[in-house]
Amino acid sequence: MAEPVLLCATDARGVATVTFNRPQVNNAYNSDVILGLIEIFGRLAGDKSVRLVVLRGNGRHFQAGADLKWLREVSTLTPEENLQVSRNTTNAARGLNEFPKPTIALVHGGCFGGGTGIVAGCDIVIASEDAIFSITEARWGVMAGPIFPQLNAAMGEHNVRRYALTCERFGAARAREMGLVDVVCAPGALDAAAAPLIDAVLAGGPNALRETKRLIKDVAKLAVSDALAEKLALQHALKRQTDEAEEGLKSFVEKRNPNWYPGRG
Amino acid sequence: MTEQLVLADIDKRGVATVTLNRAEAHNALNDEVVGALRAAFDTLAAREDVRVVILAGRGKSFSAGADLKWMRRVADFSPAENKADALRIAAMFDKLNTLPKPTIAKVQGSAFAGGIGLVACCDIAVAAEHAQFAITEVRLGLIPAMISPYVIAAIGPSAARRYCQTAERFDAWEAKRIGLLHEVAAADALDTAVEEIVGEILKNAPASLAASKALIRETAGPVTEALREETASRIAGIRATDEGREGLAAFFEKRKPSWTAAGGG
Repeated sequence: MAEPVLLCATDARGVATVTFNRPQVNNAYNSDVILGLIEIFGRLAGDKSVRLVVLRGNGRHFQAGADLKWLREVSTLTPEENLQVSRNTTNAARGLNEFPKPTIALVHGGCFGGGTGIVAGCDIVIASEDAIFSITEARWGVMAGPIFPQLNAAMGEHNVRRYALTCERFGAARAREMGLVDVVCAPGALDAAAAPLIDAVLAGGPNALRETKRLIKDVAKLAVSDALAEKLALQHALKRQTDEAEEGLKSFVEKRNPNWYPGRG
Repeated sequence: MTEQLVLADIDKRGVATVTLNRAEAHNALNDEVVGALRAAFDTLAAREDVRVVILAGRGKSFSAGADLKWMRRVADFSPAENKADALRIAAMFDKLNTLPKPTIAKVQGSAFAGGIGLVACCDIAVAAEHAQFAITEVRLGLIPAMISPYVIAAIGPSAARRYCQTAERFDAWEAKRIGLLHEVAAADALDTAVEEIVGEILKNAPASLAASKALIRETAGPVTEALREETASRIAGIRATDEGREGLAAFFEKRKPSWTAAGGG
Protein backbone atom coordinates (compact mmCIF):
# COMPACT_ATOMS: atom_id res chain seq x y z
CA MET A 1 0.00 0.00 0.00
CA ALA A 2 1.29 3.44 -0.90
CA GLU A 3 2.36 5.82 1.84
CA PRO A 4 -0.31 8.50 2.58
CA VAL A 5 0.60 11.97 1.24
CA LEU A 6 -0.59 13.58 4.50
CA LEU A 7 -0.28 12.21 8.03
CA CYS A 8 -2.63 13.25 10.81
CA ALA A 9 -2.34 12.39 14.49
CA THR A 10 -3.89 13.93 17.61
CA ASP A 11 -2.24 13.69 21.04
CA ALA A 12 -3.90 13.38 24.46
CA ARG A 13 -3.97 17.18 24.90
CA GLY A 14 -5.91 17.70 21.69
CA VAL A 15 -2.94 18.88 19.60
CA ALA A 16 -3.46 17.57 16.08
CA THR A 17 -0.38 17.41 13.82
CA VAL A 18 -0.83 17.37 10.05
CA THR A 19 2.37 16.41 8.21
CA PHE A 20 3.14 16.76 4.51
CA ASN A 21 4.49 13.34 3.63
CA ARG A 22 5.91 13.37 0.11
CA PRO A 23 9.57 13.87 1.10
CA GLN A 24 10.81 12.27 -2.14
CA VAL A 25 9.44 15.32 -4.05
CA ASN A 26 10.10 17.87 -1.26
CA ASN A 27 6.42 17.66 -0.25
CA ALA A 28 5.28 19.25 -3.51
CA TYR A 29 1.49 19.21 -3.68
CA ASN A 30 -0.70 17.51 -6.24
CA SER A 31 -4.44 16.76 -6.31
CA ASP A 32 -4.10 14.07 -3.62
CA VAL A 33 -2.50 16.57 -1.23
CA ILE A 34 -5.04 19.31 -1.98
CA LEU A 35 -8.06 17.04 -1.55
CA GLY A 36 -6.43 15.51 1.53
CA LEU A 37 -6.03 18.96 3.13
CA ILE A 38 -9.67 19.82 2.44
CA GLU A 39 -10.82 16.49 3.93
CA ILE A 40 -8.56 16.57 7.01
CA PHE A 41 -9.18 20.20 7.95
CA GLY A 42 -12.91 19.69 7.44
CA ARG A 43 -12.79 16.75 9.85
CA LEU A 44 -10.57 18.48 12.45
CA ALA A 45 -12.86 21.52 12.47
CA GLY A 46 -15.75 19.36 13.68
CA ASP A 47 -13.74 17.16 16.07
CA LYS A 48 -14.37 18.46 19.58
CA SER A 49 -11.31 16.67 20.98
CA VAL A 50 -9.01 18.78 18.75
CA ARG A 51 -7.91 22.09 20.30
CA LEU A 52 -5.27 23.28 17.81
CA VAL A 53 -3.49 22.10 14.67
CA VAL A 54 0.24 22.00 13.93
CA LEU A 55 1.29 21.81 10.28
CA ARG A 56 4.75 20.56 9.27
CA GLY A 57 6.71 18.70 6.58
CA ASN A 58 8.56 15.39 6.58
CA GLY A 59 12.04 15.27 5.10
CA ARG A 60 14.36 18.13 4.16
CA HIS A 61 11.73 20.73 3.31
CA PHE A 62 8.44 22.08 4.60
CA GLN A 63 6.72 22.36 1.23
CA ALA A 64 8.16 23.05 -2.22
CA GLY A 65 4.92 24.39 -3.75
CA ALA A 66 3.08 22.70 -6.60
CA ASP A 67 4.47 19.54 -8.16
CA LEU A 68 5.37 21.08 -11.54
CA LYS A 69 5.21 17.76 -13.38
CA TRP A 70 1.68 17.30 -12.12
CA LEU A 71 0.88 20.94 -12.97
CA ARG A 72 2.00 20.30 -16.54
CA GLU A 73 -0.43 17.38 -16.77
CA VAL A 74 -3.21 19.53 -15.32
CA SER A 75 -2.58 22.16 -18.00
CA THR A 76 -3.50 19.58 -20.66
CA LEU A 77 -6.87 18.68 -19.06
CA THR A 78 -10.16 20.00 -20.42
CA PRO A 79 -10.88 23.61 -19.39
CA GLU A 80 -13.56 22.44 -16.95
CA GLU A 81 -11.29 19.83 -15.28
CA ASN A 82 -8.46 22.35 -15.15
CA LEU A 83 -10.79 24.89 -13.49
CA GLN A 84 -11.87 22.30 -10.93
CA VAL A 85 -8.23 21.81 -9.89
CA SER A 86 -7.87 25.57 -9.34
CA ARG A 87 -11.13 25.65 -7.37
CA ASN A 88 -9.80 22.89 -5.11
CA THR A 89 -6.49 24.72 -4.65
CA THR A 90 -8.30 27.97 -3.81
CA ASN A 91 -10.62 26.21 -1.37
CA ALA A 92 -7.80 24.37 0.39
CA ALA A 93 -5.98 27.69 1.00
CA ARG A 94 -9.23 29.35 2.01
CA GLY A 95 -10.27 26.51 4.35
CA LEU A 96 -6.96 26.64 6.18
CA ASN A 97 -7.10 30.45 6.47
CA GLU A 98 -10.63 30.33 7.91
CA PHE A 99 -10.14 27.18 10.02
CA PRO A 100 -11.94 27.83 13.35
CA LYS A 101 -9.15 26.66 15.73
CA PRO A 102 -5.62 27.98 16.22
CA THR A 103 -3.09 26.81 13.60
CA ILE A 104 0.70 26.73 13.94
CA ALA A 105 3.09 26.14 11.02
CA LEU A 106 6.57 24.74 11.71
CA VAL A 107 8.77 25.60 8.72
CA HIS A 108 12.19 24.20 7.86
CA GLY A 109 14.01 24.10 4.52
CA GLY A 110 12.18 25.22 1.39
CA CYS A 111 8.76 26.85 1.48
CA PHE A 112 7.88 27.87 -2.08
CA GLY A 113 4.85 28.94 -4.12
CA GLY A 114 1.68 27.55 -2.56
CA GLY A 115 3.74 26.71 0.56
CA THR A 116 4.00 30.44 1.29
CA GLY A 117 0.21 30.66 1.05
CA ILE A 118 -0.18 27.81 3.53
CA VAL A 119 2.14 29.56 5.97
CA ALA A 120 0.35 32.89 5.46
CA GLY A 121 -2.95 31.16 6.26
CA CYS A 122 -1.75 29.89 9.67
CA ASP A 123 -2.15 31.90 12.88
CA ILE A 124 1.38 31.37 14.19
CA VAL A 125 4.45 30.62 12.07
CA ILE A 126 7.70 29.32 13.52
CA ALA A 127 10.62 28.95 11.11
CA SER A 128 14.10 27.60 11.68
CA GLU A 129 17.06 29.62 10.40
CA ASP A 130 17.51 27.23 7.46
CA ALA A 131 14.06 28.06 6.06
CA ILE A 132 13.94 29.67 2.59
CA PHE A 133 10.85 31.29 1.14
CA SER A 134 9.92 32.27 -2.42
CA ILE A 135 6.68 33.15 -4.23
CA THR A 136 7.81 31.34 -7.39
CA GLU A 137 4.78 31.12 -9.68
CA ALA A 138 5.63 33.88 -12.19
CA ARG A 139 8.97 32.21 -12.90
CA TRP A 140 7.06 29.30 -14.45
CA GLY A 141 4.52 31.45 -16.25
CA VAL A 142 1.68 30.56 -13.86
CA MET A 143 -0.21 32.50 -11.16
CA ALA A 144 -0.16 32.66 -7.37
CA GLY A 145 -3.66 34.22 -7.37
CA PRO A 146 -5.43 31.94 -4.88
CA ILE A 147 -2.92 32.78 -2.13
CA PHE A 148 -2.68 36.56 -2.64
CA PRO A 149 -5.39 37.39 -0.07
CA GLN A 150 -3.49 35.52 2.66
CA LEU A 151 -0.08 36.85 1.59
CA ASN A 152 -1.34 40.45 1.49
CA ALA A 153 -2.69 40.07 5.02
CA ALA A 154 0.48 38.43 6.38
CA MET A 155 3.27 40.39 4.63
CA GLY A 156 1.58 43.59 3.51
CA GLU A 157 0.74 44.51 -0.08
CA HIS A 158 4.00 46.38 -0.74
CA ASN A 159 6.08 43.31 0.17
CA VAL A 160 3.88 40.97 -1.87
CA ARG A 161 4.35 43.34 -4.84
CA ARG A 162 8.10 42.91 -4.54
CA TYR A 163 8.42 39.21 -3.84
CA ALA A 164 5.63 37.93 -6.12
CA LEU A 165 7.05 39.97 -9.01
CA THR A 166 10.75 39.18 -8.49
CA CYS A 167 10.23 35.55 -7.27
CA GLU A 168 13.42 36.12 -5.24
CA ARG A 169 14.27 33.84 -2.33
CA PHE A 170 14.26 35.27 1.18
CA GLY A 171 15.26 33.84 4.54
CA ALA A 172 13.54 33.37 7.89
CA ALA A 173 14.82 36.67 9.34
CA ARG A 174 13.49 38.70 6.40
CA ALA A 175 10.20 36.75 6.57
CA ARG A 176 9.92 37.67 10.24
CA GLU A 177 10.70 41.33 9.52
CA MET A 178 7.77 41.44 7.08
CA GLY A 179 5.35 39.57 9.35
CA LEU A 180 5.09 36.27 7.46
CA VAL A 181 7.00 34.50 10.26
CA ASP A 182 6.47 35.11 14.01
CA VAL A 183 9.34 33.22 15.62
CA VAL A 184 12.77 32.20 14.28
CA CYS A 185 14.69 29.36 15.96
CA ALA A 186 17.87 27.36 15.41
CA PRO A 187 17.76 24.48 12.89
CA GLY A 188 16.26 21.41 14.51
CA ALA A 189 14.70 23.41 17.35
CA LEU A 190 11.17 23.81 15.95
CA ASP A 191 9.53 21.57 18.54
CA ALA A 192 11.26 23.31 21.42
CA ALA A 193 10.25 26.71 20.02
CA ALA A 194 6.65 25.57 19.51
CA ALA A 195 6.17 23.99 22.95
CA PRO A 196 5.55 27.19 24.96
CA LEU A 197 3.21 28.59 22.28
CA ILE A 198 1.20 25.36 22.15
CA ASP A 199 1.01 25.44 25.93
CA ALA A 200 -0.14 29.07 25.85
CA VAL A 201 -2.89 28.30 23.33
CA LEU A 202 -4.08 25.31 25.40
CA ALA A 203 -4.44 27.69 28.37
CA GLY A 204 -7.08 29.65 26.40
CA GLY A 205 -10.75 28.72 26.46
CA PRO A 206 -11.66 26.82 23.28
CA ASN A 207 -14.82 28.84 22.68
CA ALA A 208 -13.03 32.09 23.49
CA LEU A 209 -10.32 31.21 20.94
CA ARG A 210 -12.86 30.32 18.26
CA GLU A 211 -14.78 33.56 18.80
CA THR A 212 -11.56 35.60 18.92
CA LYS A 213 -10.27 34.11 15.68
CA ARG A 214 -13.62 34.76 14.03
CA LEU A 215 -13.65 38.36 15.25
CA ILE A 216 -10.14 39.02 13.94
CA LYS A 217 -11.17 37.53 10.60
CA ASP A 218 -14.26 39.77 10.43
CA VAL A 219 -12.59 42.98 11.64
CA ALA A 220 -9.54 42.56 9.41
CA LYS A 221 -11.72 41.26 6.52
CA LEU A 222 -9.60 38.13 6.14
CA ALA A 223 -12.31 35.89 4.68
CA VAL A 224 -12.38 35.38 0.92
CA SER A 225 -15.91 35.65 -0.50
CA ASP A 226 -17.34 32.97 -2.78
CA ALA A 227 -17.30 35.44 -5.67
CA LEU A 228 -13.64 36.35 -5.15
CA ALA A 229 -12.68 32.68 -4.71
CA GLU A 230 -14.33 31.79 -8.02
CA LYS A 231 -12.57 34.67 -9.75
CA LEU A 232 -9.19 33.69 -8.29
CA ALA A 233 -9.72 30.07 -9.35
CA LEU A 234 -10.78 31.06 -12.86
CA GLN A 235 -7.78 33.33 -13.46
CA HIS A 236 -5.47 30.70 -11.96
CA ALA A 237 -6.89 28.05 -14.28
CA LEU A 238 -6.89 30.20 -17.44
CA LYS A 239 -3.29 31.33 -16.92
CA ARG A 240 -2.12 27.72 -16.69
CA GLN A 241 -3.45 27.01 -20.19
CA THR A 242 -1.60 29.85 -21.94
CA ASP A 243 1.41 29.48 -24.23
CA GLU A 244 3.48 31.34 -21.65
CA ALA A 245 2.69 28.78 -18.93
CA GLU A 246 3.40 25.93 -21.34
CA GLU A 247 6.83 27.41 -22.05
CA GLY A 248 7.53 28.04 -18.36
CA LEU A 249 6.59 24.55 -17.18
CA LYS A 250 8.46 23.01 -20.13
CA SER A 251 11.59 25.02 -19.29
CA PHE A 252 11.44 23.55 -15.77
CA VAL A 253 11.25 19.97 -17.02
CA GLU A 254 13.98 20.60 -19.60
CA LYS A 255 16.16 22.40 -17.02
CA ARG A 256 16.72 25.44 -19.25
CA ASN A 257 15.90 29.16 -19.21
CA PRO A 258 12.44 30.08 -20.56
CA ASN A 259 12.28 32.02 -23.83
CA TRP A 260 11.41 35.30 -22.10
CA TYR A 261 14.74 35.48 -20.22
CA PRO A 262 17.22 37.71 -22.06
CA GLY A 263 20.19 36.65 -19.92
CA ARG A 264 22.21 38.75 -17.51
CA GLY A 265 22.71 42.41 -18.44
CA MET B 1 14.81 74.61 -26.42
CA THR B 2 14.44 73.87 -22.73
CA GLU B 3 15.61 70.58 -21.35
CA GLN B 4 13.03 67.86 -20.85
CA LEU B 5 11.62 67.62 -17.33
CA VAL B 6 11.32 63.85 -17.51
CA LEU B 7 13.70 61.59 -19.43
CA ALA B 8 12.78 58.11 -20.66
CA ASP B 9 15.22 55.51 -21.87
CA ILE B 10 14.74 51.83 -22.80
CA ASP B 11 17.63 49.37 -23.03
CA LYS B 12 17.93 46.26 -25.22
CA ARG B 13 16.51 44.01 -22.51
CA GLY B 14 13.36 46.11 -22.26
CA VAL B 15 14.40 47.81 -19.03
CA ALA B 16 12.93 51.34 -19.12
CA THR B 17 14.21 54.15 -16.91
CA VAL B 18 12.09 57.25 -16.31
CA THR B 19 14.21 59.99 -14.75
CA LEU B 20 12.95 63.12 -13.01
CA ASN B 21 15.13 65.83 -14.55
CA ARG B 22 14.48 69.03 -12.64
CA ALA B 23 17.46 68.74 -10.34
CA GLU B 24 17.72 72.50 -9.70
CA ALA B 25 14.22 72.39 -8.15
CA HIS B 26 14.85 69.11 -6.28
CA ASN B 27 12.64 67.37 -8.84
CA ALA B 28 9.56 69.11 -7.46
CA LEU B 29 6.34 68.16 -9.19
CA ASN B 30 4.55 70.91 -11.08
CA ASP B 31 1.82 70.56 -13.70
CA GLU B 32 4.33 70.03 -16.51
CA VAL B 33 6.25 67.31 -14.64
CA VAL B 34 3.01 65.57 -13.68
CA GLY B 35 1.88 65.65 -17.32
CA ALA B 36 5.23 64.36 -18.58
CA LEU B 37 5.26 61.52 -16.03
CA ARG B 38 1.75 60.52 -16.92
CA ALA B 39 2.58 60.48 -20.62
CA ALA B 40 5.71 58.41 -19.98
CA PHE B 41 3.79 55.88 -17.87
CA ASP B 42 1.09 55.61 -20.56
CA THR B 43 3.65 55.01 -23.29
CA LEU B 44 5.60 52.40 -21.33
CA ALA B 45 2.43 50.58 -20.21
CA ALA B 46 1.45 50.08 -23.85
CA ARG B 47 4.84 48.90 -25.11
CA GLU B 48 5.13 45.13 -25.24
CA ASP B 49 8.93 45.21 -25.37
CA VAL B 50 9.15 46.95 -21.98
CA ARG B 51 9.65 44.41 -19.18
CA VAL B 52 10.52 46.56 -16.15
CA VAL B 53 10.20 50.29 -15.38
CA ILE B 54 12.68 52.08 -13.10
CA LEU B 55 11.73 55.49 -11.71
CA ALA B 56 14.82 57.53 -10.88
CA GLY B 57 15.76 61.09 -9.99
CA ARG B 58 18.66 63.27 -11.16
CA GLY B 59 20.62 65.43 -8.78
CA LYS B 60 20.70 65.71 -5.03
CA SER B 61 17.03 64.88 -4.28
CA PHE B 62 14.76 62.15 -5.58
CA SER B 63 11.77 64.46 -5.35
CA ALA B 64 10.77 67.21 -2.94
CA GLY B 65 7.07 66.62 -3.69
CA ALA B 66 4.68 69.23 -5.08
CA ASP B 67 6.20 72.44 -6.38
CA LEU B 68 4.95 74.97 -3.83
CA LYS B 69 4.95 77.90 -6.26
CA TRP B 70 2.59 75.98 -8.43
CA MET B 71 0.58 74.89 -5.37
CA ARG B 72 0.17 78.52 -4.34
CA ARG B 73 -0.98 79.50 -7.82
CA VAL B 74 -3.54 76.70 -7.90
CA ALA B 75 -5.02 77.90 -4.59
CA ASP B 76 -6.23 81.00 -6.46
CA PHE B 77 -7.86 79.03 -9.27
CA SER B 78 -11.63 78.61 -9.39
CA PRO B 79 -12.83 75.68 -7.25
CA ALA B 80 -13.47 73.63 -10.40
CA GLU B 81 -9.99 74.31 -11.85
CA ASN B 82 -8.41 73.68 -8.47
CA LYS B 83 -10.06 70.26 -8.24
CA ALA B 84 -9.33 69.39 -11.87
CA ASP B 85 -5.65 70.01 -11.14
CA ALA B 86 -5.74 67.69 -8.10
CA LEU B 87 -7.46 65.02 -10.18
CA ARG B 88 -4.64 65.18 -12.76
CA ILE B 89 -2.13 64.44 -10.00
CA ALA B 90 -4.29 61.60 -8.67
CA ALA B 91 -4.48 60.16 -12.19
CA MET B 92 -0.68 60.26 -12.53
CA PHE B 93 -0.22 58.34 -9.26
CA ASP B 94 -2.86 55.85 -10.41
CA LYS B 95 -1.05 55.30 -13.74
CA LEU B 96 2.17 54.52 -11.91
CA ASN B 97 0.48 52.33 -9.31
CA THR B 98 -1.36 50.27 -11.93
CA LEU B 99 1.35 50.22 -14.63
CA PRO B 100 1.15 46.59 -15.85
CA LYS B 101 4.89 45.91 -15.53
CA PRO B 102 7.03 45.64 -12.41
CA THR B 103 8.18 49.11 -11.26
CA ILE B 104 11.23 49.95 -9.16
CA ALA B 105 11.81 53.28 -7.42
CA LYS B 106 15.55 53.97 -7.43
CA VAL B 107 15.76 56.61 -4.73
CA GLN B 108 19.16 58.30 -4.97
CA GLY B 109 18.32 61.19 -2.63
CA SER B 110 15.67 62.53 -0.30
CA ALA B 111 11.94 62.17 -0.96
CA PHE B 112 9.34 64.35 0.70
CA ALA B 113 5.53 64.50 0.53
CA GLY B 114 4.48 63.73 -3.07
CA GLY B 115 7.97 62.31 -3.65
CA ILE B 116 7.13 59.63 -1.09
CA GLY B 117 3.89 59.06 -3.01
CA LEU B 118 5.93 58.19 -6.12
CA VAL B 119 8.01 55.72 -4.07
CA ALA B 120 4.92 54.10 -2.55
CA CYS B 121 3.29 53.69 -5.99
CA CYS B 122 6.20 51.53 -7.17
CA ASP B 123 6.22 47.78 -6.58
CA ILE B 124 9.77 47.79 -5.27
CA ALA B 125 11.70 50.61 -3.62
CA VAL B 126 15.47 50.81 -3.12
CA ALA B 127 17.19 53.87 -1.68
CA ALA B 128 20.66 55.21 -1.03
CA GLU B 129 21.42 55.14 2.68
CA HIS B 130 21.79 58.92 3.00
CA ALA B 131 18.27 59.58 1.66
CA GLN B 132 15.88 61.29 4.08
CA PHE B 133 12.11 61.06 4.10
CA ALA B 134 9.25 63.13 5.51
CA ILE B 135 5.53 63.47 4.92
CA THR B 136 5.64 67.24 5.25
CA GLU B 137 2.22 68.47 4.10
CA VAL B 138 0.85 69.47 7.51
CA ARG B 139 3.82 71.82 8.10
CA LEU B 140 2.38 73.91 5.25
CA GLY B 141 -1.23 73.73 6.35
CA LEU B 142 -1.91 71.10 3.69
CA ILE B 143 -2.72 67.39 3.84
CA PRO B 144 -1.16 64.27 2.31
CA ALA B 145 -4.23 63.58 0.21
CA MET B 146 -3.70 61.88 -3.15
CA ILE B 147 -0.66 59.98 -1.86
CA SER B 148 -2.37 58.65 1.27
CA PRO B 149 -3.87 55.42 -0.17
CA TYR B 150 -0.46 54.37 -1.50
CA VAL B 151 1.54 55.49 1.51
CA ILE B 152 -0.79 53.72 3.95
CA ALA B 153 -0.68 50.54 1.82
CA ALA B 154 3.12 50.62 2.08
CA ILE B 155 3.78 51.68 5.69
CA GLY B 156 0.56 50.60 7.40
CA PRO B 157 -1.91 52.72 9.38
CA SER B 158 0.18 52.83 12.57
CA ALA B 159 3.29 54.38 10.98
CA ALA B 160 1.06 56.63 8.84
CA ARG B 161 -0.65 57.99 11.95
CA ARG B 162 2.76 59.00 13.30
CA TYR B 163 4.59 60.32 10.26
CA CYS B 164 1.66 62.09 8.58
CA GLN B 165 1.01 64.04 11.77
CA THR B 166 4.53 64.74 13.03
CA ALA B 167 5.95 65.51 9.56
CA GLU B 168 9.29 64.57 11.16
CA ARG B 169 12.20 63.37 9.07
CA PHE B 170 13.14 59.71 9.08
CA ASP B 171 16.13 58.00 7.54
CA ALA B 172 16.35 55.21 4.98
CA TRP B 173 16.66 52.47 7.60
CA GLU B 174 13.49 53.60 9.35
CA ALA B 175 11.81 53.81 5.92
CA LYS B 176 12.80 50.19 5.35
CA ARG B 177 11.62 49.13 8.78
CA ILE B 178 8.14 50.58 8.25
CA GLY B 179 7.84 49.12 4.74
CA LEU B 180 8.26 52.14 2.44
CA LEU B 181 11.58 50.75 1.18
CA HIS B 182 12.58 47.17 0.49
CA GLU B 183 16.35 47.71 0.35
CA VAL B 184 18.87 50.31 1.47
CA ALA B 185 22.24 50.51 -0.29
CA ALA B 186 25.39 52.61 -0.08
CA ALA B 187 25.14 55.45 -2.64
CA ASP B 188 27.74 53.88 -4.91
CA ALA B 189 26.02 50.47 -4.69
CA LEU B 190 22.52 51.69 -5.59
CA ASP B 191 22.82 50.83 -9.30
CA THR B 192 24.02 47.32 -8.48
CA ALA B 193 21.24 46.76 -5.93
CA VAL B 194 18.60 47.78 -8.48
CA GLU B 195 20.24 45.76 -11.25
CA GLU B 196 20.13 42.62 -9.10
CA ILE B 197 16.38 42.98 -8.71
CA VAL B 198 15.97 43.70 -12.44
CA GLY B 199 17.89 40.48 -13.17
CA GLU B 200 15.46 38.47 -11.04
CA ILE B 201 12.41 40.05 -12.70
CA LEU B 202 13.68 39.34 -16.23
CA LYS B 203 13.61 35.60 -15.43
CA ASN B 204 9.84 35.84 -14.85
CA ALA B 205 7.00 35.50 -17.32
CA PRO B 206 5.68 38.89 -18.53
CA ALA B 207 1.98 37.97 -18.70
CA SER B 208 2.19 36.22 -15.29
CA LEU B 209 3.67 39.40 -13.84
CA ALA B 210 0.98 41.68 -15.27
CA ALA B 211 -1.80 39.38 -14.08
CA SER B 212 -0.19 38.88 -10.66
CA LYS B 213 0.28 42.59 -10.12
CA ALA B 214 -3.37 43.31 -10.94
CA LEU B 215 -4.59 40.54 -8.66
CA ILE B 216 -2.39 41.52 -5.70
CA ARG B 217 -3.90 44.99 -5.95
CA GLU B 218 -7.43 43.70 -6.29
CA THR B 219 -7.21 41.31 -3.34
CA ALA B 220 -5.53 43.93 -1.14
CA GLY B 221 -8.26 46.49 -1.85
CA PRO B 222 -7.72 48.65 -4.93
CA VAL B 223 -7.58 52.45 -4.91
CA THR B 224 -10.91 53.19 -6.56
CA GLU B 225 -11.85 56.14 -8.73
CA ALA B 226 -14.19 57.26 -5.94
CA LEU B 227 -11.31 57.33 -3.47
CA ARG B 228 -9.07 59.25 -5.89
CA GLU B 229 -11.89 61.74 -6.40
CA GLU B 230 -12.35 62.08 -2.65
CA THR B 231 -8.63 62.68 -1.98
CA ALA B 232 -8.49 65.25 -4.80
CA SER B 233 -11.48 67.10 -3.34
CA ARG B 234 -9.82 67.24 0.05
CA ILE B 235 -6.55 68.78 -1.14
CA ALA B 236 -8.43 71.18 -3.43
CA GLY B 237 -10.49 72.26 -0.43
CA ILE B 238 -7.67 72.65 2.05
CA ARG B 239 -5.26 74.57 -0.15
CA ALA B 240 -7.86 77.28 -0.66
CA THR B 241 -8.49 77.71 3.10
CA ASP B 242 -6.95 80.49 5.20
CA GLU B 243 -4.72 77.98 6.97
CA GLY B 244 -3.46 76.50 3.69
CA ARG B 245 -2.76 79.96 2.28
CA GLU B 246 -1.01 81.00 5.48
CA GLY B 247 1.22 77.91 5.39
CA LEU B 248 2.30 78.50 1.79
CA ALA B 249 2.71 82.26 2.37
CA ALA B 250 4.90 81.63 5.44
CA PHE B 251 7.05 79.26 3.39
CA PHE B 252 7.71 81.86 0.70
CA GLU B 253 8.13 84.69 3.19
CA LYS B 254 10.61 82.50 5.11
CA ARG B 255 8.78 82.98 8.39
CA LYS B 256 7.01 80.71 10.86
CA PRO B 257 3.32 80.17 10.15
CA SER B 258 0.75 81.65 12.54
CA TRP B 259 0.02 78.35 14.30
CA THR B 260 3.54 77.95 15.67
CA ALA B 261 4.56 79.61 18.95
CA ALA B 262 7.12 81.78 17.13
CA GLY B 263 4.76 82.69 14.27
CA GLY B 264 1.60 83.26 16.30
CA GLY B 265 3.35 85.72 18.65
